[in-house]
Amino acid sequence: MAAEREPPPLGDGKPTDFEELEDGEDLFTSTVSTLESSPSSPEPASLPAEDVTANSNGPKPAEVVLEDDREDLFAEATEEVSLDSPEREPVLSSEPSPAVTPVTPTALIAPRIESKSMSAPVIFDRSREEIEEEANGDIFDIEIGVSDPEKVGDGMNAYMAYRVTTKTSLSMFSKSEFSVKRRFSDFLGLHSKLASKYLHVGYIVPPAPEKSIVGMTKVKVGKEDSSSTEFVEKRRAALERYLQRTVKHPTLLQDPDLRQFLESSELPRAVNTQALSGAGILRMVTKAADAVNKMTIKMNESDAWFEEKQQQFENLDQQLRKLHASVEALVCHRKELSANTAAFAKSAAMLGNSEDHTALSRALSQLAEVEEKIDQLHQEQAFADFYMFSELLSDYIRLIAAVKGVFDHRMKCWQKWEDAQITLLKKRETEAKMMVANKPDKIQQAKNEIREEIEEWEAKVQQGERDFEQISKTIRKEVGRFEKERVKDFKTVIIKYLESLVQTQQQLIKYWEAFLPEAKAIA
Amino acid sequence: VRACAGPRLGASMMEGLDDGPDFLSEEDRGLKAINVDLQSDAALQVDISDALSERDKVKFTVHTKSSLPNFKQNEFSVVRQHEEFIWLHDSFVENEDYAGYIIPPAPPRPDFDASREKLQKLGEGEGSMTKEEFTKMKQELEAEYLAIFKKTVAMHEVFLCRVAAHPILRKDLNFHVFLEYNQDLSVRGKNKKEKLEDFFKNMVKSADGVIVSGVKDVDDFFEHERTFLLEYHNRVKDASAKSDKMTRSHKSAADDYNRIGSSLYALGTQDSTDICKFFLKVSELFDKTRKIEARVSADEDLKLSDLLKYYLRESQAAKDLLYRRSRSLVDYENANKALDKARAKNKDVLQAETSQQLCCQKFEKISESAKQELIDFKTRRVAAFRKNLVELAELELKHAKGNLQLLQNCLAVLNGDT
Repeated sequence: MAAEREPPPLGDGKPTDFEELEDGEDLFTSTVSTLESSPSSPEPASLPAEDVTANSNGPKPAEVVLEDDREDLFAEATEEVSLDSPEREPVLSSEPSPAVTPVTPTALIAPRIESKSMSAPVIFDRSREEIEEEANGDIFDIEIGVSDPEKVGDGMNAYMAYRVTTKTSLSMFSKSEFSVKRRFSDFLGLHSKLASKYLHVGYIVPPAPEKSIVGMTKVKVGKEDSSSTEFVEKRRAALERYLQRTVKHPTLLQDPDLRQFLESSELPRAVNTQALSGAGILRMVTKAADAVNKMTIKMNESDAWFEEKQQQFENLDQQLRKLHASVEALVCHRKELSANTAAFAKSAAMLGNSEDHTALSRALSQLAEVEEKIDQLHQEQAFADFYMFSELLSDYIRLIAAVKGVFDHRMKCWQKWEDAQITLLKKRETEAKMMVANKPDKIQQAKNEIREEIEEWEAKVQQGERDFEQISKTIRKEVGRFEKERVKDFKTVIIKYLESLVQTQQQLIKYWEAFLPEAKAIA
Repeated sequence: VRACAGPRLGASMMEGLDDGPDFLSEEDRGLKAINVDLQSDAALQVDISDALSERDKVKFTVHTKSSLPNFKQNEFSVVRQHEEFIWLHDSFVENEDYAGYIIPPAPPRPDFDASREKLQKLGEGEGSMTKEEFTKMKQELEAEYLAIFKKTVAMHEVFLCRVAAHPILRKDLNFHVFLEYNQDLSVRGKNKKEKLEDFFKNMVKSADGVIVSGVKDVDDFFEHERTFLLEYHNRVKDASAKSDKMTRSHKSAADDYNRIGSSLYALGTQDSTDICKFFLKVSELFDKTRKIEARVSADEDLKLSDLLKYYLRESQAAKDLLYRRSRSLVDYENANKALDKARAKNKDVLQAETSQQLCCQKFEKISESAKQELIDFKTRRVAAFRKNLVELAELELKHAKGNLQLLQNCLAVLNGDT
């Protein structure tokens, strides 16, 4: 797949390059389509041509210029376009050239686009190369930290601001280390943007941490107790993991919204993310409607792979939930154990006080101290139980929901294609009927209309098929990547967790070894 | 004092019992250690060589070895039930001659209700879990049952050993009958009326206790002992309760490991990627570490909770002794007053004199033996705590090291694989 291929060589005009591109240079196609499509007009189609001519004297030099200015050119272009219409659906196609079509004469543009297409992947591959190489080497050279939660404001309008620090050597960023302040709704806004762009074309967009009205209210109201500090810490850790997962995704990393989120000091407030806002309620209604639709779509699955995978994810989901429940119980019991150990420690100290045999009295006090230390140990272990093990599981349960969502989008895509085919059929039938009927004059206009409509729907059917194939391809790739990530994630985190258990045992040994001579000294 | 040969459970319980001799001997060592001064005494050795748990009762085989002339044979056994132990204990308490001794506390009633309930619930829920889970939980519950069983056997044994070690009590006739008479002693449990009488007696005693303890004791030793015991008893009670809670939390956490292990196993067998081996190994780890954690909890229960519970009962027995002494002191003082009055009126003087002398003798006798008893109590207590705390620390270390080894081995394998 993409990750393992080498970037196409520069300046090579052979068709093979196109094939490689077609295979799903996700990055390239998505960005190119943002360049090339726009609901408004043919203009965007000429945009690349414009840029090319603006910076060069002809096709040949264009290539060269492109190489030199590559990043800037494309960076600029993508930013421009995305600012224009952020909510637009990118239309993906597997052939870059046709995407440029309807209006500009293909013959003229094609060669230039060809060369541009050839070089463009190189451009993107440059930065993508970095990412892919590092992905293969298991080290992503971008590190995100979320820290320093700080309460801003007072009362019900208060919110927590978090510092988001990025450390990277990737050339797409202007600096190698920088940080910004973000609030929770900013994260939700980012996810919302990424989801709207990428989810329905088959990318598994990591879900953002969940909202919690209760938790936040406590913080706003200013309760300085341990449960609100715990809540803030839990959220901070979740936000960090969310960002780290998002930047690990090669396609999402390229997204300008993500970059803006990480880099810009000022970010427009994402207001539509509030739970009880109009948009929030709309989301809920849409979700419900989707759920109903899902049940009524009867898809003819031609590809067993998808059915298999869906079943596997269903099973995995169930198993993870079960495991998660057990781990949550462990966290709870460990916290209980910690509290009970602390209570016992105090009681043992009291007992030691009233014991009138001096040596025994001292030993009992020592026992009390040991138990107090052990109580601390239990608390720390409960932390590890939760933050490493339990949160990993709940993250993956939500990720799998996103995966399932992507499969559902594919079904919807199929449905759209199917519907287009049905409509086309109906139109053709209507046309056929018209041909047979014998009213020459008036009917000519109607015939033209229906001809146009048929052409329109033929195109839609073609598009639908292409979309379906594309989303299927993307999902296959995404699932492959997801599974790899999952395996890595679990292994890393579980090993870390086991190491925390090791530490606990080592500490226990230390404490009891210190106590043993005290007990033996009772005479 | 010989170790338990091996208590038997009813046939249905025997399947799948996990733990071997290792578990047994540690526990026995521990429980015996509650009373350390029980030196082997050829004159009289008592132990519980066997026990059988039936539906609603436990039958203990009490085995005696003695060179004393009182017994017909040198070695013999009888079967006794819990009620008969209580009868014996109560006969000591009610015996005026033993007023000056700390009466060894009665063993608690065998209580398998909770455990039995759990096993029953498990049986009912069999359909809702996988075969592995069911087997695991069954093993767990059976081990729990076995542990409770062993404990109750040990508690009953310790009681007998204490009596046998006591220079005066060991000569008690009821005790000999208990040991030797191989028929049922026909001691019915107390009926309602008797239980009510007991209840009132205890009420009177504690009310009395309040009055009597208001009187400051002339003797410094007893004054100190009284203050000490009152406070100590309360604190031991508190510590015992907290220790219990702590051990139970520990056990719950260990049980969670069990479930986590099962879930990981299920994940390992169903996963399609190469992470299955990983999950299976971690599942194995959790199963093994869980066993260790369960032992930690059980050992803490034994060395700490049981120790504290035992001394809760013993300190109560010591308090009872002090109470009896105070009572006899009050009787003595009253007799003195009566004598003075009689002398003043010059009426029934002889009677009053005899009465006063009796009270005096009784009081002095009790005081003397009580003093020794209380000193012995302290010695026993210190020795028992020492032994148990040392053993607790040693076991904690052993288990922690075992756990550490397990974890490090597992990590080595996992890191080697990835």
